[in-house]
Amino acid sequence: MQMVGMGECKIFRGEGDHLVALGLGSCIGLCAFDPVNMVGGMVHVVLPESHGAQDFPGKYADSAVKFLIEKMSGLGADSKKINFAMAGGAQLFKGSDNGKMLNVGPRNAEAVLAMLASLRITPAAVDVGGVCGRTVTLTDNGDMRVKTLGKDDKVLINLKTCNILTMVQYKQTMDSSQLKRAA
Amino acid sequence: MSTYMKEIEVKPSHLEIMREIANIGAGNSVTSLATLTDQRIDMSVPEVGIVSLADFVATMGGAEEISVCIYMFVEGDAPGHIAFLTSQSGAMRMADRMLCREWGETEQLDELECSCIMELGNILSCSYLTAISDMTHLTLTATPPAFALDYAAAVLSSLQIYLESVDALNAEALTIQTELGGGKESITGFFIYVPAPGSMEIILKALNMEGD
Repeated sequence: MQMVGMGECKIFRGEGDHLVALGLGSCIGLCAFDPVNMVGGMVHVVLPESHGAQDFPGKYADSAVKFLIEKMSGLGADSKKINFAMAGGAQLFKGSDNGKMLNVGPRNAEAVLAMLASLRITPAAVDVGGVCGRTVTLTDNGDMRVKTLGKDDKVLINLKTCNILTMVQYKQTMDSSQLKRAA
Repeated sequence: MSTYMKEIEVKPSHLEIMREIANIGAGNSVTSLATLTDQRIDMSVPEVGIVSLADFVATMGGAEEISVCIYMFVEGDAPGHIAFLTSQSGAMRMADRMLCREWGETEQLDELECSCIMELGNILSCSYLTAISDMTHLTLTATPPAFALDYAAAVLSSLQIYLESVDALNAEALTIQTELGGGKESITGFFIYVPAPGSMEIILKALNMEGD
């Protein structure tokens, strides 16, 4: 089992391993799985933009997606075969009228989606937003599990087959033109 | 990796004076709480230290330990960020005390409980700020609080990210461990104070401790 901490990107190939990101608040856990070569990966995204910073590519949405794909390709994944899904981006704090405290989560979600769109990638499942923390697990058979505060651990989607096992409602919180611009 | 607190060389003598100030703040809190709830809730400050927010997750009991966080921005002569943190069970016991319930009676943190915990967090934070103001003659005011109840890792990471984005900080905090009550009915809470760049020097200078 590998823990995926803030800004980290972890990968595995074959059987016997799984990846966990514990307690995602405004962060995003982006999971990826190549079912042909059995390579899995997860990156724990913290902020939308790197502004050119190169020290922690997994930390920023604008560098994390490519970083994840590169690392998985290094283990033999075929980038055209990879299935993606993401969870996180919640707004945990309520009551403050300081907008910045409240919108990092949704901004992270939109930034990851925009980056995927710019690479012509459509994620197979998106469980983002809301007001609750999540723990995300990716297993060696492609199950992406999401445990939300107050609820049981559930399989969101299997990234081998892309069968969606838990329906979630994704509410777009930013203007859709911003997503279109990136595509 | 160099960080703000290490750069300005916060020393054990500085921590000791912060602890004295925190004890005065605790005394202020006892008075305020007695006025508000008509009961005496003792408070003590066993320890003051410096920790990075990432490492603080372990202190809270682990990444998935459900915790309460009340956050306030501090405006004034030495701006910064202050937050009060306790576990979910600590928060329920705080609700017991504030709402004059039996110890152990509260089983859920609904709107009433959350609002009185927020009030308690507000009182405690303002008491500490008053203690610092009194000793330093600096003006420090807390803005209305924000509240979170979630996994410790989620709460602390969200807080850390927010602090990094507003003050470009490498989120290191002065932590003040606080015990409310005593004996078998004691609640552990933590204050974390993250000064904006420049603020710690202002406070230490006002305490005549710069270069000490």
